[in-house]
Amino acid sequence: MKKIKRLFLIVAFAAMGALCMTACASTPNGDKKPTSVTDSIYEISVDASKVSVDASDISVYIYSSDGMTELAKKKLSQGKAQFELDDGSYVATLGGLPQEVSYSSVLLTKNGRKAKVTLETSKYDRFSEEYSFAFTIIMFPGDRDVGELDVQVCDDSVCRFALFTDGNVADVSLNVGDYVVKVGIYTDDGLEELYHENCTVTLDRRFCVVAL
Amino acid sequence: MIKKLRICIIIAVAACLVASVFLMLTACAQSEHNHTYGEWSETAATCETAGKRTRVCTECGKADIETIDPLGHLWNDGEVTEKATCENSGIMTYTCTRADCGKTKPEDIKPLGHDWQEESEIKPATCEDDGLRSAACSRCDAREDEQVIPALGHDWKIDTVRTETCRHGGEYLHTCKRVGCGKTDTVTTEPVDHKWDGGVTVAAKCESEGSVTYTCTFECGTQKVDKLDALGHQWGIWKTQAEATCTEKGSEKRDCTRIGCDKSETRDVAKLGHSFSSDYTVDKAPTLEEDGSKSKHCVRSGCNARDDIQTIPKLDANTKIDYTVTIKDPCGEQYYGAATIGFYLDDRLVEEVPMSNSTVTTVSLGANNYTVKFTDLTKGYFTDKEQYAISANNPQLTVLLNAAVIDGTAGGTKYNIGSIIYDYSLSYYDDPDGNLKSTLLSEILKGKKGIFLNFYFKGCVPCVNEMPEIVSVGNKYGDDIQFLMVNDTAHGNQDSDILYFQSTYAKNSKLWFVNRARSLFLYNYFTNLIGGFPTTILIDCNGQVVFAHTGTMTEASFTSALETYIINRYNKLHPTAETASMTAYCEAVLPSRKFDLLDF
Repeated sequence: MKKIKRLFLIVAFAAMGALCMTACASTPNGDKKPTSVTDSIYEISVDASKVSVDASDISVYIYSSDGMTELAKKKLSQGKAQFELDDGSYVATLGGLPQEVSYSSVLLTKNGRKAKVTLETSKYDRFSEEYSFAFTIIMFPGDRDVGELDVQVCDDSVCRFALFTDGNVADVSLNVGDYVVKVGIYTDDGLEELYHENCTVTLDRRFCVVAL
Repeated sequence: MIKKLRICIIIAVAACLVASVFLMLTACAQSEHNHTYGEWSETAATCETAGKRTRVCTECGKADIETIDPLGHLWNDGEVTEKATCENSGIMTYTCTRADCGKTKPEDIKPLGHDWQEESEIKPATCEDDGLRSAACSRCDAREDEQVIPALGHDWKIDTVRTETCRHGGEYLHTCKRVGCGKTDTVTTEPVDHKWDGGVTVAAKCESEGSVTYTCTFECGTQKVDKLDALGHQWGIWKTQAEATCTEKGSEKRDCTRIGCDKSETRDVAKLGHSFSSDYTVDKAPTLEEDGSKSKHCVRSGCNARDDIQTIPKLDANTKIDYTVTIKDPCGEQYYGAATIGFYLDDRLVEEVPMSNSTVTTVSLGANNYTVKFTDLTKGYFTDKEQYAISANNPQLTVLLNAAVIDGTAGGTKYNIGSIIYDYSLSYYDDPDGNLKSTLLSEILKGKKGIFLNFYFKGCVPCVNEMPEIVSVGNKYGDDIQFLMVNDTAHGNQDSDILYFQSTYAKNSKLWFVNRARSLFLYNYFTNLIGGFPTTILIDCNGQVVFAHTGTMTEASFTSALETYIINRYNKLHPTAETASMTAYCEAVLPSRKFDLLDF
């Protein structure tokens, strides 16, 4: 009997230990307590001084680095929105802004956790009576020197060009609407196509992530 | 357990002993004297009694007797000796068929029960008496489920002896038609009210009564008359006969609309009295030499009454008035360039202002007669006079600029809408045979009404998609407008690519394809307007950049743009007798609207 009791106690303690270890290991991304207050904070600030928009109505969206999954959303508070995220790269974009307001989406990285987005008045073509907005092509990961690359964005009626800037992003001006564009990455002489993919353009999704 | 086993063993042994004894006894019995029997003698069995067989041993006389069982009766099929009824049982008698027996055996036959048939009438109903119905047994006289059949009532045939009128009652003979009845009854009725006919109507009118006279159709001679009230007039709307004015009363009239009535009535409309504006209107503008006047005008149309007439002192340099200068491009449309406007008094600069609010500039200055000069006009624009007059009496000035292709090198210039282009030498292919030709933009504009530029590159799918449209409008407008295709050389296009594009998409067209070397600079001048490819830019006859669009266009949109921005503008600056008269005619008919040739 004594032996049985002893055996029972040994089995019970072993099970409890296993349960604890499993709970500790399964904490989802973003919920883990940071080891320090600033290490996992990603911040987006928005400058709305050039447009007539109430900043408190603006929402910031955080997408995964491939642009496929929306991870978080927050409204601005005093012109800023902060997110606790695991180390990594994310696409930050704004939502709910009208066609008269243009902005560029940004790529946040482990080494670049803060970014500022400036709202501007959209261009208006008086001949076609159409607005245009900035459509951001984000290169991820930026293994190549993106300064050597030429970005070409074409839909059925126009081909536009852009260059990558700091932060692996390239802005091209597209007409407001919902449609599909082909994003092409070329060598800077325009002769060799390195990549192309179709991206969906909408007023609420003004970016496309490409990867070489 | 052991005890039970002992008991079993004891029982088994006892059984063996008993069996042995029995067998032993049997064997002993069979070993006695063997009998010698004689013949059998038999007493036969009958149906009810047993028989026997006997034989005796001749030696010892012992008898051996065997019993023969009784035979039993052999009954026949039986005969009904008493029939069963619905309620009583019958008797079936069976007889034994063995000889010398003849015994009988009776058995009961069960009652049959009633065989009820459908209900049948045993006593029919009559007009005045009830009948009786019940179900009957087919075998006996029994009945059940008796029901009453209600009396039928009489089936009257009615013959009229006399119908009722207002003077006497009616009489009717009722005879029952049912067979076997024949009853009769005489029914009388009371006299009825008068029965009026449709009446004879005398229609009522607007101002007189009418009537309807009814006569009794029973020919008693009685009549009654209903009066109809006068209808009253059915007035139409009041129509103005004379408009009331501020000082004179007016009048209105209305007519009765009822057919046959010609009545009408009129009424006065009170004079309106003056309605003076709360604001003053300048009746006479003051000048530097004379006082002016202002007053409050009556706002009613056609009334010239004035109230509160006041003098406006003549102008002097201390009086500030707004001088407005408007600058327009050579076609009288919006000027997109820059300008500095100088106001001079006796050759002394009084005020110098940059142009504001697009093309309209308003400056507040002391009342005087000024001279206006323009400086810093956007390159390519110029005025037809060195200076213009603007006075206190007429402080509005509109100046129509002239423009011409700039003689010089564009350098780092970036064109926008409204810019005047610098002259530029072109090298181009007008067919794919590779023969390069050259000209100047200024030379082109001497013989054409404008220039069509399309920026493209080989590999641009939208550019290729648009080419059939450009070729088509090129063929249509190529005599009046020069079509130039400018390559985006930044994407590696060489002259071979340009010639390929031309031969593939624009062979035998009126399009000129600028070569790589001259495309490069031309492209750079227009980068502000080129948002992508294809981009179409139009230049009018003055060398003014008037239109830019990025993205494909259809033939219809090309046509509209060419007509609006090149052909129409050219015609405004070079009106023919026909175009000038048509424009003037339409503007006279609808003076608030300015017409373009596209309206025709």
